Parts: sequence; structure tokens; C-alpha cells
Amino acid sequence: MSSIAHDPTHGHEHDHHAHHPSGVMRWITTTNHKDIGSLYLWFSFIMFLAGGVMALTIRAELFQPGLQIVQPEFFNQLTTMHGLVMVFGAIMPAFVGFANWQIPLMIGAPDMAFARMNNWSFWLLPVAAILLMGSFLAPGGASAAGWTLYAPLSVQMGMGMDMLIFAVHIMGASSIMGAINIVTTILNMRAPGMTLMKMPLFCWTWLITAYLLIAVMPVLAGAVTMLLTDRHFGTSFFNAAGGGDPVLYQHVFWFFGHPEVYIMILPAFGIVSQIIPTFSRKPLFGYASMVYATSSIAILSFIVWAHHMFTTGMPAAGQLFFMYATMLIAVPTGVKVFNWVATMWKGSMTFETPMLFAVGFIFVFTMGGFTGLICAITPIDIQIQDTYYVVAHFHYVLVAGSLFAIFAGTYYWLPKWTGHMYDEGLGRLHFWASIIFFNITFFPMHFLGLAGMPRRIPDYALQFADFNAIATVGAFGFGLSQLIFLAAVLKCVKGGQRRPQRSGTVRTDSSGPCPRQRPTIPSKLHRLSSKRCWLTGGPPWTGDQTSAPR
Amino acid sequence: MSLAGMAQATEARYNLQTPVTQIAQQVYDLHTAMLVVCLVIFLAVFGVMFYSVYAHRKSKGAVAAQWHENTTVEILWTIIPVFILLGMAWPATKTVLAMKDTSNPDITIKATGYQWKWGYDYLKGEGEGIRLVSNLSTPQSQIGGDQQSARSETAYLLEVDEPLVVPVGKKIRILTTANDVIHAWWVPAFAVKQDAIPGFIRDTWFRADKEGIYRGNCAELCGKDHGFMPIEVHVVSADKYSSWVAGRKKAAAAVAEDPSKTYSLAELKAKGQQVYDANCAACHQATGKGLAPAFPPLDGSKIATGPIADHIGIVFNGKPGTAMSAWRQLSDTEIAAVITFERNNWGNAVGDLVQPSAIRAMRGGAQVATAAVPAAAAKEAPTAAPAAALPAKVYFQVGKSTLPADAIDAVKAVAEYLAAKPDAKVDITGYTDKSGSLDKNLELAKERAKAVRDALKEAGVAADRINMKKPEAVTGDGDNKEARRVEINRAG
Repeated sequence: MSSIAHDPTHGHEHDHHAHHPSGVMRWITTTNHKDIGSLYLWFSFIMFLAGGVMALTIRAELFQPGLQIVQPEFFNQLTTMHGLVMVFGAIMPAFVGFANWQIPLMIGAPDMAFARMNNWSFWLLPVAAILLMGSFLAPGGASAAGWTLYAPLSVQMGMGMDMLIFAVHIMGASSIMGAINIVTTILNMRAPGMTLMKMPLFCWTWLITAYLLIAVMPVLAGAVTMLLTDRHFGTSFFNAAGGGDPVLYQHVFWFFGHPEVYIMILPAFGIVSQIIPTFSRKPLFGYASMVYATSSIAILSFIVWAHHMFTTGMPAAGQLFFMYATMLIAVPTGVKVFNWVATMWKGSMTFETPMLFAVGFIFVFTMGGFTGLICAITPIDIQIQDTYYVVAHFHYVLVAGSLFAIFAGTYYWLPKWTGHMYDEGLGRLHFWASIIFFNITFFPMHFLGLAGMPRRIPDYALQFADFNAIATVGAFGFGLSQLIFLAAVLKCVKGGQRRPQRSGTVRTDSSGPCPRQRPTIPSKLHRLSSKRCWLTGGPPWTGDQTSAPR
Repeated sequence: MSLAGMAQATEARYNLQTPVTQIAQQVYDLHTAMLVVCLVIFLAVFGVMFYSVYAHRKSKGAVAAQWHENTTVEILWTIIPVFILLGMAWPATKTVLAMKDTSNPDITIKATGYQWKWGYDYLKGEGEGIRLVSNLSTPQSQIGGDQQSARSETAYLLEVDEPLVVPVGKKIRILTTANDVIHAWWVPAFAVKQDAIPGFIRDTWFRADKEGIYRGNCAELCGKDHGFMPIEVHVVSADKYSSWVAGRKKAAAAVAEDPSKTYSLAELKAKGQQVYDANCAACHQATGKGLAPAFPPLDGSKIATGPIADHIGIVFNGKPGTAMSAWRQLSDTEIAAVITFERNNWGNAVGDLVQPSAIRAMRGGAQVATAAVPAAAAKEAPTAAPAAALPAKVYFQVGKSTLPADAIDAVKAVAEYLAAKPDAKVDITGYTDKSGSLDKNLELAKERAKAVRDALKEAGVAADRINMKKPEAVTGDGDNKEARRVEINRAG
């Protein structure tokens, strides 16, 4: 307890006797950022499993040519719901969970700025999830229009589509509230002396992500509301017969959708930027350029949306503009990768699970980056748009990118959250199983797409059979590997080796487990003015404290 | 026409399909070049990273350096990628411009996406006027049934009953549109993929350099059978193409349907079965049991056994908000046949039938009369007549506005139509030819319209059901009878 010894009023005993409800009411009424962070993370894991079951059903159907397990209509419902559940249920809430847990700790704030709104923005999510999953039981089943919900196909859907639209509204409201909370917390509640450019990079990436969320979630809400009125109230936004345009939907959707892609990857960049320096025992290379690169990516993300629409038949000038703008994103993204590699260079590296996932992230995410660059080239994109090449591309950035970063961050901060070390053996097993099965699943999809297999089809021509069989085997391996993750987390939560104490004196609040409530006035920060402070108290693995990871 | 023995497009497994157009070749080369550049960068960056992973380990006694920025290096690795990107953008730009150049085509074909098949109309060039409907020809029994061993290695799910046929070496412009939802017309070997958007026309083009059979798919999720609406293009020599066109025209003339013919129940049922299998069975199933809950059964359904007007209405207009789209693109005979089939097949035995002439009347806006089988002839006769009444034209003599004697039939027909449709109204517009002064002509046109209105009133039409439109002058030369007319159209 040496590191919090300067704050004698504050300790576990006191903490556990605070006056708050127990049992389930504790979780329903909680305004504590750590509780809410945990709720977000568990919620996202449950949704991850649900989306995963849908993915495995899809892969099982595609194991062989022909229709065996599901009918085409239900297959389309599965692909639609898999996408929506993973994006809105698994990846986004997981990052909000990290933000809740880590941002107040990292900037020395006692809690999130709007604690009650924080509770509300989480508890909206299960409601939305029930509405979304419940749409499978609606007459006509869930929406089968693809996660992009393109009109006019989505106008044809049954009641499941309306449930989905309301679920998207609710999730959007939740995201906007979460984002406002994060922006307010970061801008107003930093500890004295912590300037913006001294913040941990994770806070920076989330600050930018939160602005993206505030900017685009209303756009999505607008798009689905127009769908709703087209469906039920006689409007013709997307109906040419009434003077509308189906392509308008795509423009509005992707004006949300492309920044959304960065909403799902920027916090991942932040997590990896925390982990790489720690395990390299070397400060992050090019902190300032990381901040600028993240901002550039965010700004560029608003002017590239139509690269999802090259085949709609836009004029050549449009195709060229969106091609150039999209290619430009490779520059700041490249800077980030170079910075991470430069951080590792001449470091003193060890490879515990968080580092394995972070290095795996860089390696595999970059492959997704390269295929993204190839997709940016309009003529090539016209050839591979809506094929399995695109499926491979976005799973390389969303699974190997966002999801691996979520795993990395979880292993990295679990000891802080629980006070126990996770089981390193299980963690490493989880990493190796994940990265191998991930590649077995998704790498062959590049070949499938190039050779001409469209996405979102329940059955395919015979020349695609071999790679589909391989992908299915990989998918089941990948799915089962995630049970190792569950086991590792449960084991860590239940107990295990105490988290080693740091010998250094730099940190406040670095001992685990994190006390549930901390004093409202941030603890005094040591050495704050001369060095960027690191309130997370770096992990116990680093041992030697000669360097402050940043 | 037999295409046996023609070259099949080489099957691709690891890479883009073998290109058969110049554009596809450019795309192929562009992709190869990009792949090489990306691989080189990939190997360089990860060579460094994995060397570092190998060498800079704590377990090897590595001591961490403490530097954390270097402006020169950071600027360099920002600038150099920009130049690499410029190098990539240059050839890509040239290809984009070439892909967009749809000018001066030899043949223009409209491809229409339907849920779930393609329709082709040859609009311009050799073969003008040909119309094809291209359905998946892989039998259901090969997809989910007991014939799986009979699947074709190259064509399973990529084969159609009526392929698109085009001549080799000619510039083919494809116009795309759709009937219901967005589809996309995609043939990988041509590097052509163009969304087909309902209510809009988009275009693309290709010039195939090699004869052969090229296969593609719909590339935009379009509902249940998105995976089952392939595209098959036969690229043939100019001679073969000409003989194919001649063959199509001959066949078309031979089977031209006479929509005024009266069919028997058995004839309509037999034809209806074909129409049903090609268009309806995908959702409502061959058994008529549908696929609950999205696709309702027809066997025993309220619509297929209820009033025939409702039945025709739903086939004709679709059901908004569901996958049931309007089927107006079918011919009068096809619609009449399929409705008759649905009402008298499976457990349905309504016993009535609908004739193509009634459907034609429906297109004109008339109410549908039906015929019970025994009394078919008696009931049927009056159905078509009123609809044919609109739009009607009454022709006047030069400079006159008195109603000619031969106009009385048309006026009567319109009056009958209005009596049959109590909610319908008509618009009346007068016209003149271009000789004489404009003011006078406008006045004349007005007088002519009034004359028709008065005649209609005399025939018993209430004044509030007649809208007088602004008169139009000058629609043709002095010797043009067509120019001196009054048109009676259905209002709204």
C-alpha cells in the first residue's frame, strides 16, 4: 500500500463499507465509473458471444456448397444481425467500458463528469439489445437487409425492422450521452498540471472518438428515421416513384458509417499505444505525431464516405475525389504503425499476453490496412466491392484490430481492476489460438473475393468450396478460443495471485484492486510538472522503474 | 442455340479472374502492382519489427534506450508514403476515366434487376427489340435436394435459362435499372459492376476481346434469393450473333401472344404453372405453402380464394412494405394465367378464371370483371370495352368546332366507362394545327373542347366529372388530321 500511503483516509476497508445498495440494486443504481465500466464490458462480452453464435451458424451453412442448415431468408437475417450486434453491441460498448474504467484514473478525476447520466447511458443498452435480439421473434423475423439497411430492401422488411430502428435510436442516444460524458470529463476534470499534451494517448484517442460519435450518431438516427417514415408514414425519401432517391440513403448512412469505422479503431490505437511502451520499457515514440495522426484520421474520415459507393454510378470526378481522399488516410495510419515499431526498436521487450496481443494487432491490423489501400483504388474496388475480399478486409481491421486491442487492454488492466494477476498460461494460449484461427478463417477470404465470390450469399459456386471449408474450420476454432478468454477472466476475477506491488513511488492509485470510491479531490501527483504523468500506474510487469512508460 | 464446346472462362481460385476486356486487364495489372508495392512495404516494416522482437528482448539483456522522437525520421515517413500514393493514383485515375467513357456504343442493352432474376432489353444496335428474361437454371434439387452429385463444376449457381448474348469485339453499353430493390450487375471477367437502382438508370460498358461464356452474380444484397440470380454472358462471333438475332426474331413472331384471345381454364392453368414456377415459386414455393412468416402461403389464402379483383390488385400493384413487388412487367396473358392457376391449383378450387383482356382493361384503369367457368363468354364480353375507351380522341375538320358525326361512338364509350367507374373523372384538351394565327387557334381549340364536353353532358355525364384543360395550339401541319383533335383522358 505504499503508493497510496499519502492518502490515509482512503483504503479498502472504508471503501467496502460505503453506503450503497448491495446485490443487484448495486448495479442498477450505480453511478460509479468502475462499476459502470464493468457493466459495459460484461454486456459487450455477452453480445460478442451472441454475435459469435450467429457468425458460426453462417459459417456452418457455408461449410459446403448447397443449403443444409438454414434457409436463405434466415441466413440474411443472421448476417444482418451479426454485423449490428458486433458493431453496436460488442465493439463499441467494450471501448466505452475501457473509457469508463481508465479515463478517470488516467487523468486523476474522481469519477466521470455526469455520473447519473453514465448510469442511464449504460442501462439503455440492455433495453436496445432486447429489442434487437427480440426482433428474431417478430412476425417475419429479424431484418434481413444487411447491417447497412439499404433502402428500398429495408422498406420491404417486416416488423423486425421497426424494432431494429428503435434499437438503433436507443443505442445512438446511449452513445451520444457516453461521448458527451467522456468529452466533459477529459476537458474539465484533469488533475492540476496535466495539460492535454501530457494525457495518456488512450485519453486522446477517446477524446477524438467521442467527438466523432457526437457528430455522426445523429446522422444514423436521421437515416433510420427516414426509413421509418418511408415504411409507415407515406414519405418517399428513398423511393424514386415519389421523387426520392435510394442512393440518398447510402450517402446518409455512410456519412455516419465511415467515421463509425474510426470510432471502432481509434480507441484500439490508444490501448496499443499504452501497452507497447510498457513492455518495451521505453517511452512511446512520437507522442505528438500520434496525436496529430489520430486527429487527421478523424478529420479525413468525414470526406471519404462515398468510397463505399463506387459502384452506385457516381461521376468520374466523384470517384476520383473519394479515391484520393481515401488513399490519403494511409499516411497518418502509416505514421502510427511506424511509431509503434520505432517504440519497440532498441527497447527491452518482454512478451506477456497484453504485449502479444498488441504486437499481433500491429501485424494483422496492418494487413487489413494494406487491403484497405487496395480497396481505395476505384477500379479495383469496383471489381471487389461486395465480395469476400471486402469481408476479409474489414474483419482484419475489426477483429484483428479492434477486438485484439480489446483483449490486449483487458489483460493489461485486469490486474488493476481485480487486484489479481490473470493466468499467464491461459492468456498466451488464448492469444496463439486466436491469432492462428483468425488467419485460418479470414485469410482465405481474400482469395474467395478476388476469384469472384459475392458476400451475403448462403450458397456458392463449386470452385469456392475448398476455401469456404477452411474458413469454417477456422471460425469454429476462433469461436471456441474465446472460451479460454472467458475462463481467464473468470479465474482472475475470482482470485489468484495478488497483483504485485510496485516498488516505485511515482504513482497514485497504482495498487490494485482499485478502490471502489476515491476521494473527490485528486491525489497529489508527483513529478507532474516535468514528466508526463502516468496515473494508470503502469503495470506490475515492468519491474524496473527506471523509465516511465507513456 | 448451341454453344457447346465454346471456351469457358478460366476458373479463378487465388486471383482475379482472367480478364477478357482491356479494362479488366488494366484492373488486373493495377491490382498486381498494388499487391507488389504493399508486399514490399509490408516486408520492410515487419522485417524491422520482427528483428526488433528477436533482438531487443529483456531476456537477451537488451537495455531500453530512452529516445522518443526524431523529427527528421517522422517527416520522412510522412512524405515518402505520399509519393508512393501519387505513383499508385496515376494509373488508377487513367483507368477510372476509361471505365466511365460509355460513348459511341455498338449495342445498347438495358439490364433490369428483378427479385430475383435479370431482364435484358436490346435497345439499340443489332438485335434491337429483343427481350430476354434470365432465370437461374440450376434445379432446386441440386441446391438442397437429392441431385447434389449432378452439380456442374463450372456452372453451379452460375447458369441461366436465357443467357445474354453479345458479339465479340463490339462496344456494349449496359444500362442498369431495377424493378424493386437495388441489385448490381457484375461480370468479373469484364471488370464491370454497376448497381441497378429502381427508378434510375445508370450505365457501364465492356468490349469483350475473346469469345466464351462468362459468368457473374448479382452483387448487391437484394433479399432472399440474392445468391441465386446469376448473370451469364455468351460472347460470340459476329456471324453467330447475327444468326442468333434472326432466330430470336423468328421465334418471337411465332409465339406472339394475342391478348384478345379467349383461353380455356385448362390452357390458362398450364401456362400459369410455367409463369408461377419462374416468378412466384421462389417465395411462395412450388407447393403453394409459402415460407412462413415472411412469405405467406397461397394454398387456401384469403386472397387466392377471395374476390378476384383483390387477387389481381395484389399481383398488379404488389404489397408495399413487404417483399411482394408489383408484377406489371409480366404480359397480360401471363398475369391472367398465373392468377387463374393460383385460384385453381393445390387446395384452391374457386373455379373462376380471368382472361388477358381483363388484365388489359385493368391497365387502362377499368374495374375487373370475372367469369365463372360455365358462363364465361356471357360475362366476359363487356369487360374490355370501357377501358379501351380511354384515352379517346375526337377529330375535327379544318377550322371547324362542330362535333363530327363519327365522334358519337367515342363519346358514348367514355360515358359508359364513367358510368362503370363512379370515382373516375376525365380531362378534356383541345388542339389545332399550326395554320392561322395563334390567338384564333387557341380560341378554336377551346371551342372544340367545349363541343366534346357538351356531347358528354348530353350522354349523361355530370359536369363535375369533366375537367377542361388549357387548350393547346399548333401540334402539326395543316394536312395533319391528328393535329385537329380533342383528347379525353382519365384525370389524375
